[in-house]
Amino acid sequence: MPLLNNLFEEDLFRRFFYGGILIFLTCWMIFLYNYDPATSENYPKCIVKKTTSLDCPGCGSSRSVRHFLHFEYRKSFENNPMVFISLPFLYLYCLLVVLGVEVDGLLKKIIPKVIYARFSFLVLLILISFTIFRNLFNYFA
Amino acid sequence: MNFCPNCGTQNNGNTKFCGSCGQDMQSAKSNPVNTWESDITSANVNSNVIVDSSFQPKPPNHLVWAILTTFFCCLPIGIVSIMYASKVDNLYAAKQYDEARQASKNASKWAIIGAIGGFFVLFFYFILMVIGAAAQ
Repeated sequence: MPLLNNLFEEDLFRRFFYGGILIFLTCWMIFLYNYDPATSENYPKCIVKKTTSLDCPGCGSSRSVRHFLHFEYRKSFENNPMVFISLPFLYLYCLLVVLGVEVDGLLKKIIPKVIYARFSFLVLLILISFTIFRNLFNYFA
Repeated sequence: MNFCPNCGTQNNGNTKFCGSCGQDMQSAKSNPVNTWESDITSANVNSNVIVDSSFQPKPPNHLVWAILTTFFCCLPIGIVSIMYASKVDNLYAAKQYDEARQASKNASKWAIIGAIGGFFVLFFYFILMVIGAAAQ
């Protein structure tokens, strides 16, 4: 594990790694474009959903991506708003890292300092509250 | 266009020696003075700030990876990884560099566990599907 962490400070390794993520995401998107997760039986079900019948933060992500790729933005947002909002940015981030752009430095300039210093904490807070609210919403709806 | 570091005369880009004073232009290009500056700019530090000798680069917090694990592996393990990612930021801001490095290692560890866990679930699901199809 320490080896891996040292490797991450090497720029080339980082670019290759994010390149791998990018290839995986692209393959997944092509697959989703062609096969509908809502009607097909062959997609793996979420374990959290199966065991607890609660929605995890990732539930509905594949449906959301499929609708997004078919330009049905409203349905995409309804299935998983977090994926709808964040996935284009994550994809762009990976792409820029692979292209060799100094993304972290760029983000530091764009995002206000108050937010940037607590960015990952905010992400954590938003994800947890999103999970709680979507389950409450499902319960009362 | 190149400017001679010795006398300041303008020379063509490919000249080896200065036309005015004879200064070696090639050695001036590869002057080791630049490496010090490039070290600092790569660490995203404003060059006007006086360089602290105890300055440490920020360890990676693996946030993008953690979020992707949360979304695509359907396991709450990704959340743990994001928790460690925010810990990296906090500890680094508090100048606790060793602890920040440790949190960074934990963030990548949990992201790997999440990714491998998700992969295994997918793999076993696939095997069960095949067995189910064969049984029918």
